[in-house]
Amino acid sequence: MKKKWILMGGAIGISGAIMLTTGFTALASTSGYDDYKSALKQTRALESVTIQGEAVLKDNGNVLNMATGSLKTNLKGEETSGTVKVTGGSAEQSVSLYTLPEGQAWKAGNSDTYYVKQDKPEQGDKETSDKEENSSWMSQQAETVIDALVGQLKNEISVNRQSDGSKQISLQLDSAQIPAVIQALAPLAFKQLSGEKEKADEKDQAAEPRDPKKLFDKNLLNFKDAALTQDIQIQSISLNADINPSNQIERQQASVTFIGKDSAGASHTLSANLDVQLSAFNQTTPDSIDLTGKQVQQIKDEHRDHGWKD
Amino acid sequence: MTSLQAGTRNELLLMLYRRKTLFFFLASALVPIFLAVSFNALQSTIGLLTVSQSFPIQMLELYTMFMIPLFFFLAISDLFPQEISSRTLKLALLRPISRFGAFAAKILALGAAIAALLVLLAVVTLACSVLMGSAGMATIDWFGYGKAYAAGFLSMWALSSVFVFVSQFFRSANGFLVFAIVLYAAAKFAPFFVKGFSAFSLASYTDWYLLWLSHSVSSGKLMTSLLFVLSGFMLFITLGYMMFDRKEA
Repeated sequence: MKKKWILMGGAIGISGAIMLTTGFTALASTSGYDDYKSALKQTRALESVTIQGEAVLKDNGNVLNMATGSLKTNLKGEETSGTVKVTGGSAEQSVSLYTLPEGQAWKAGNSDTYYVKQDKPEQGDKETSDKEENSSWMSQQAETVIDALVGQLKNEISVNRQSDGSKQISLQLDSAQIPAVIQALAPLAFKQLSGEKEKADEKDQAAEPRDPKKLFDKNLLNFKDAALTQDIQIQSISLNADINPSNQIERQQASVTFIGKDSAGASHTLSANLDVQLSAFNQTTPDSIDLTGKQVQQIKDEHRDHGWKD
Repeated sequence: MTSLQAGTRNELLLMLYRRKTLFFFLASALVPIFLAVSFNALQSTIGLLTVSQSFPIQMLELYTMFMIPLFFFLAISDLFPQEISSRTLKLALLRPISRFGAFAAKILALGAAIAALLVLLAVVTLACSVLMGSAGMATIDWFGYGKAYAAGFLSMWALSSVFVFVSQFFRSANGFLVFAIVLYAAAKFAPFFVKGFSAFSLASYTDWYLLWLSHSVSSGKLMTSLLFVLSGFMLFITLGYMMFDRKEA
């Protein structure tokens, strides 16, 4: 009788101890996921940064759309300047952005008109401290939720630490590893994007490029050209990030490959690549422009609101 | 050993004679077929999911999350509380088999049933993806899928041991069923509110098989998580046996 109790006690003790140790190991392991999260937070707290980006959409290796841009952003004052160029199947469109003392100006590459939008005066300054407290609590909650959603996937994120403190983070998922929910949403997102594009085409055929957002929507990542209609699935997702020694993200690459068939039954491999490089951390000043003597058109906010709704 | 074998066979036969076991197996075989057919039918209109070569793994996600836990809640409620409330437990205990033998036979039968369910799922989903999918047999990663299913089985058996332990507190099958479902749901939702909960919860290991599909997860991480699952299994089996041992039938 005594022997049995010793045996059982031993089994409980040993397995309990192993469970606790491995649990704490899992809890404390600094995976690439945590490294990336902390770098992301650090990067979001930046005051200003220069961004160079390139987005390419390829169909069976042929470039469908390409967008390149270089932007100087002041995140605190929400000011941005720079140029973005979008190359579609036949057309090419570029937009230049400038900051003004009291707003933003932009100009399309093919016209001489500068569009100016005034900043709205800030309202409710009193609430900001309250809001900040709230938002930090919210972001902590959001982090817990995101951690839970990521689940076991976070173990797939690998990290390569260099001796100087910089890190390379990478995530590579094949079709079987991609959660079924994301797989299910992929074709829906596809439909949504190509459907929206059609609508936008009908409406904006002769419209002036008033809003840079709309301009990009019109030309960037033209999913309709791809014309995938059947058997759409995500083949692979890969993410790569370079983190510098001061824990800021210097380079972010992302690529998603879809496979599917068009309405004629021919198979397509569609790949979307994004490559963003960040530099001049906290040392960027957005470019301004002197608009005297230039053709200027004022934009009111209601245009923008209208644009968002449809 | 022969008594353990006989006991396990006895428990398995008992399980088979229950109509709900048969019903559950039938339903688990039909759900993937139904989904595959509806994906195919809906595809031309809304282009939703396709039946790809990873269909067996996508279905595994659904099954380890819902179907198999539901199945073992039912099976455990029949194995323990039901036997107590209908006073049939003593029939097993009167046989020339030790208490531990009787308990182990029940656990083994439970494991065998979970394994059978997974094998059935694997066969049906593979057949669906070969017959209805766009890609043929050639692209199937047999070794990887085998590993994933084996890992899925381990995590399911380990999770069931938690509920075997819990079931020892109940004398009625319905009470246990309701409590088990609530407990499982709570364990699934807790990581959304409590940081670090998932590191110590077997319930968050239901999608553990994903790690075995990956090329980038280090073997150290696989080993620690394997140890966690195995030690959790052992801990709750022993705790469950302790309770079972002191029970008066």
